[in-house]
Amino acid sequence: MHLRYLLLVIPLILTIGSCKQEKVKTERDILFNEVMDIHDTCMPEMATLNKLKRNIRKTKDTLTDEKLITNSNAMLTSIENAEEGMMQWMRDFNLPKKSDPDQKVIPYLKEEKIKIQKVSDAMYAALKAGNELLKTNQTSSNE
Amino acid sequence: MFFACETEQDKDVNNKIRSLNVNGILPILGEKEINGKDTSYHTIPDYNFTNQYGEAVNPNTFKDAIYIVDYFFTSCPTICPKVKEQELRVFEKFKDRKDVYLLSVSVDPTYDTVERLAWYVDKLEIPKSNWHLVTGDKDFIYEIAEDFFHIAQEDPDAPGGFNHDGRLILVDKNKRIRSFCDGLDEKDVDRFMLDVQMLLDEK
Repeated sequence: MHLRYLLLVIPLILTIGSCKQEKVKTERDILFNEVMDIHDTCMPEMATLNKLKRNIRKTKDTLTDEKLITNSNAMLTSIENAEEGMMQWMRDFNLPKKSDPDQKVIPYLKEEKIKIQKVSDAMYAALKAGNELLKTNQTSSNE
Repeated sequence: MFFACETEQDKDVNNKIRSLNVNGILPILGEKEINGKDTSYHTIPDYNFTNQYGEAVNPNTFKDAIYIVDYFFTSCPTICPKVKEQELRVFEKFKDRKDVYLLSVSVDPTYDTVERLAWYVDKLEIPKSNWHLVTGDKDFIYEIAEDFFHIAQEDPDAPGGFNHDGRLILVDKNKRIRSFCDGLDEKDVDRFMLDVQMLLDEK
């Protein structure tokens, strides 16, 4: 009986204890962190993306195949757009002030989460497609 | 990462480099090539930027001087202004020296025009002498970042590419990287300022 009681009470005490240590996160805190997490995960890829663009440009200059040259030009534009998408999002993003009411901040952060997710998707898509094209270009250059 | 904190991985990299700095002599950072008795170190290649006054900035601007480099952009709401606060501390400490400069390179040069940089200088009350905020060709800015942030790249555990994480880089009179710090960490900036002084005292 006592053991069953203890098994029920101990997790409860641990839960209360851990709750006391952490500040309770509000919906706006959670949303803000989600927006930042998406941004922080893909932001370091900006340098990777730019390097990929420069490498594609270098290989493009060695190509003779018109189709590959056209594909390379299209890919360079896609990468530029993905890079610019991130920069534009950062230019437009307004850090919510503490004094801003939840009714204003929560819908704003929900919109920003959708926007930054699109930016992130475009960056990763450009990275994937760009790396594949770079391999094709390098193979063609070596032939 | 413009808004992010320093990662554990970054801290490891910083600690490794700091541990090199032990005998009162700053190490020369980056890859080196040894040919017989000659050792050649990684150096910053030539560049051509335009500053907040529309003036050209190139390695000659820093002839016989040392300089501190950071990457930033004017629409960055959180990290960049905090790093600028720390850079202002560095500036204050060495403001009477004619051989210490700061070079802040924008990663968003399309938006950060000369006019925008001038506006930013006024907004943050950045001193007008010995501090160049520059714009230029975007792809070149990213390419040369690989040279400025070369120190992290030689470590296989370091994060890929360069992070826009507020890092400050110290370049000597011979275009070599001698130290760096986390520009968001006041204590690390204190240590970095000692490194700057150590470099100035170097014969």
